[in-house]
Amino acid sequence: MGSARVTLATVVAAVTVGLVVYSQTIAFYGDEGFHLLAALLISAGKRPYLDFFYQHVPLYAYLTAGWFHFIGQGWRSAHLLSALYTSAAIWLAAGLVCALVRDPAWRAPAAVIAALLFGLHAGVIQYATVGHPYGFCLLLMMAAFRLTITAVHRERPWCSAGAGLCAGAAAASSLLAAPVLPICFFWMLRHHQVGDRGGKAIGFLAGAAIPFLPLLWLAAQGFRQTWFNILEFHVFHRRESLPGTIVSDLRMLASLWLESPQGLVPALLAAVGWRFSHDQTDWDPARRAEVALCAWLTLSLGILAACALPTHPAYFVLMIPFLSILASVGTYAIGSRVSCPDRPVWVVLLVLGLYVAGLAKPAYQMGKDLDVFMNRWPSRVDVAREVNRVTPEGEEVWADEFIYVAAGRVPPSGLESFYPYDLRLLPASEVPIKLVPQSQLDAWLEAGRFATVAIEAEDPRIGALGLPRLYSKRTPVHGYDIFWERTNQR
Amino acid sequence: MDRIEASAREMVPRSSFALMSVVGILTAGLVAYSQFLALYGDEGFHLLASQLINAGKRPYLDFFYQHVPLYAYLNAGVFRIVGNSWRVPHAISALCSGAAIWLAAGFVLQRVQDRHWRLPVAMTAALFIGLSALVIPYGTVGHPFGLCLLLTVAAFRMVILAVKRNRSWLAALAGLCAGTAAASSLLTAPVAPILLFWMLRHNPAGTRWHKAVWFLGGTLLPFLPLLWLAIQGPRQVFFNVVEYHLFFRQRYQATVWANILDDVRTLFDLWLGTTQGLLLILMAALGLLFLDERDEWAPAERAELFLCGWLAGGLGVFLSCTYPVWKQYFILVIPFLGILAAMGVYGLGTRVWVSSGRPAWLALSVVLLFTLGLARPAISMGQNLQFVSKRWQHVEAIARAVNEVTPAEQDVYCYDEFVFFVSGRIPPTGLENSFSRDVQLPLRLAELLRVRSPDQLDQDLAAGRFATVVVEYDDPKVEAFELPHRYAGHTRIGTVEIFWGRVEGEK
Repeated sequence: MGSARVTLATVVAAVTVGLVVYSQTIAFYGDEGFHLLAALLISAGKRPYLDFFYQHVPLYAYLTAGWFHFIGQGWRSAHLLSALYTSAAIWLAAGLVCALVRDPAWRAPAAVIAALLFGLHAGVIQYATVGHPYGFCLLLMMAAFRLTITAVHRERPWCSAGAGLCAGAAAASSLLAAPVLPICFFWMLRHHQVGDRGGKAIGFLAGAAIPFLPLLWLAAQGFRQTWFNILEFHVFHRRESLPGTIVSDLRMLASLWLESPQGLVPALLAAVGWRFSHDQTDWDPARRAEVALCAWLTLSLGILAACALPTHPAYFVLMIPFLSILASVGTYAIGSRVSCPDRPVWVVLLVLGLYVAGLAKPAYQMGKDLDVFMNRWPSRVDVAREVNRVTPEGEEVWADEFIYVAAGRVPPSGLESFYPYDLRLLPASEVPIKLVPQSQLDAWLEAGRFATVAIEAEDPRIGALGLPRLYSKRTPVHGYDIFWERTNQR
Repeated sequence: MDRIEASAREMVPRSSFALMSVVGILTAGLVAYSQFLALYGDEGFHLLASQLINAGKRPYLDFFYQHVPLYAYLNAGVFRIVGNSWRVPHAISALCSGAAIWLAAGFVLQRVQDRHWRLPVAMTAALFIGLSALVIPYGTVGHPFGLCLLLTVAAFRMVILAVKRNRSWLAALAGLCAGTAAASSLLTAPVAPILLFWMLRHNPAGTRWHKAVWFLGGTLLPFLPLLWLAIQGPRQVFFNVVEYHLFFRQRYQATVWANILDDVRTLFDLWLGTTQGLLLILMAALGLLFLDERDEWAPAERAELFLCGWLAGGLGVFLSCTYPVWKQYFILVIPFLGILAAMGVYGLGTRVWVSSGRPAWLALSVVLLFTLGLARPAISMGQNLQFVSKRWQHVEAIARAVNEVTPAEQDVYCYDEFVFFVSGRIPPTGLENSFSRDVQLPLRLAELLRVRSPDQLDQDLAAGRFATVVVEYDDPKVEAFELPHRYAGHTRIGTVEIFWGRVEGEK
């Protein structure tokens, strides 16, 4: 067990270093802007839903705001935190496999496979190292999972309360993690072994409720706005706001799960792992139930992600830890039953070789434009620096979320999120949120309301709204045009 | 050996019948596909070569043909008996593919010991091959792929028999099959040496070298037409069969590295970017790992299944080095990979899926997943079904129109070999094979090889040498050579313009 832990620690440390380096150099995701901006706005005393549009549950934004308060605001610290959360989740997942697989020849290989299937997943690398709740949710879900399986063997309800707290915090950070909450709860009740079942259930629910307190507090102040942001938007307006059809969703699912080594290989191995554990009469029932819990979590998180119309590859990141655990059990099953059990190396190499080959294509695409990929955040920081240089303190700036975050500037009310384009086309009376209609935004621009405008150089509004006429100064910075010093020609 | 034969003897006839039914359905599907949807751009020059052979012309010496000649000669023989029609070679290819599926699945049926698993695993092998997105479109056209599938699997099975039995003619027959495959398409060239070395290694001492000589004798026989042609024109034969492939094949990128990268991308997309490719690779690897389990297999059985691995690996490596690589080449690997992949399913079922007791469910799940891999090509074909199903009708309409307006002995200018084949016309020198136009050669060598450059063909066009001209409607030649003024007759079929009736004084 000791040497397995050392091997595993080395592998996880190497993966952590890789994730941290990636998070500080290449990591960038279009959707992280409004999460980081929400944290910035909360730091400035604003409230999600009530003071600005934010279509997510609020915990991650509040915690990031707290992190910014202590460490200092910036994309690097948010990225670093996500990478570390993810690494901790990898450690928890691989550690669990160490406990599940008791065959000494296979303990370290199976745990290493779990760590690498998790840590080398293209989605995890891409989406769990940015200023987005995925990294945080991965850690919380893994912690909830491990606390749940510990709780059934403990007399006192602390572990179940901890499990509930973690599962609740995950769900209160991203609704995509919501299935963890009921599944862990019912699994705990079903497989309860010692202590008071009712007490543990209450502990779990109480723990789960705590992370939702900020949401309840906001709902108490503005129920309609909270309801719209958290539910109504997703049910009725998401499809309008995002491009895509059911056919394009199916095509994406096929390319993600059937036509990629990073999808099909772990999925098949997970199926083998689940079936293997199901058949293992020499495994104690608790171990088999733990694998079954893993399968339930994988399935439910996958189904929820697939049903989020339109879906996105990033949503499936949350099922990767559980899929990796199942797949490592599957690899162990194949290695120990189909092939020579005392020589895991060939099976491990085969699985990892195929899996890592799935990274080749995105890595190649990235390698071709490495400068562009490595410069996505730094270039915005340069734009923000220039915006701050030319704009007096207290003056209003027109920019996107990334520039506001990098500049540390609070946007004017209504400009906090550029995301829901189609909502802006609805009459203001139908949208119970602080969202300014598109026509109003254009009118503000045309009226020269903003002291500085940082706008993408290809944006047709530059010509259509006559920005060069409205401002006497203009400078191009990394694909943005910055206009400042208003003229009198309005 | 005893165990295998005993297993074969105790094989329930019902299993064979059930397997035969599945293979029968697959073959019927392949034949139907071959008659209604199958058309492959490169089959035109193969079919035309057969037509030219029947007209008394010789490949290499009288026209450019960058392949070994046996398939063209065999097709020519078929055309003599049943007449020129694309439907016949299509049906023959589909039947050959069906026979290859039967041989491969039959092999699996004999090798699986567990009677509960025998039929599901054999059916899985049959479906892995018959539902392959490579076998369906490329094993059903007038191209040597279908024939080569049958011959390579037949050679594989003959060699196994030859090692077990003390009959040299079986070795000769194995060599004949392997040689015929290689003499039909050089892409199958690795099969003969792999089988020969395997036979030498696994044949009991005593008759080893004797059988090797018979094997080599059988291998050489199908190359006699090539030798006969080489005697008459060694330079032409060497250029077409060797030199062209080494130095003149068309590459699409400017640098060697860019071309290699293109090839790597093709390989990646085929094997790691498709459900079928990934599943075959995974299951075949599992099958090989399962073979490592010495308790399960007798040494002879292991050797036979490892031979499958050698053939899949050898062909795979050879085909990956063809530069440029085309995905359709890998159809030749599918039978051997299919056998190994089915063994992987067997290993999984008997070692991991132990308690289910219903082998059919596992086999069915894997085959369903494999079949899902057909969805994307099927969808893209479905979107163009109208176009795909009418491609041959389109060619036939053009050929009919050309024959109506062109006297029998007059020359037709057309870059599409299909039109010459369907119209039953002999193309002018230089238009027998569209690949010849990309070859840049010194004039004397070009004349020797019957290759005419696009410039030379343009000169002929400018000189009004052709009674009829068939070009795409957007071909700049229409304007450049003032075809509407130089020809009195003009019609359009689909995207193709046909000009005929040379205007006197405009030549």
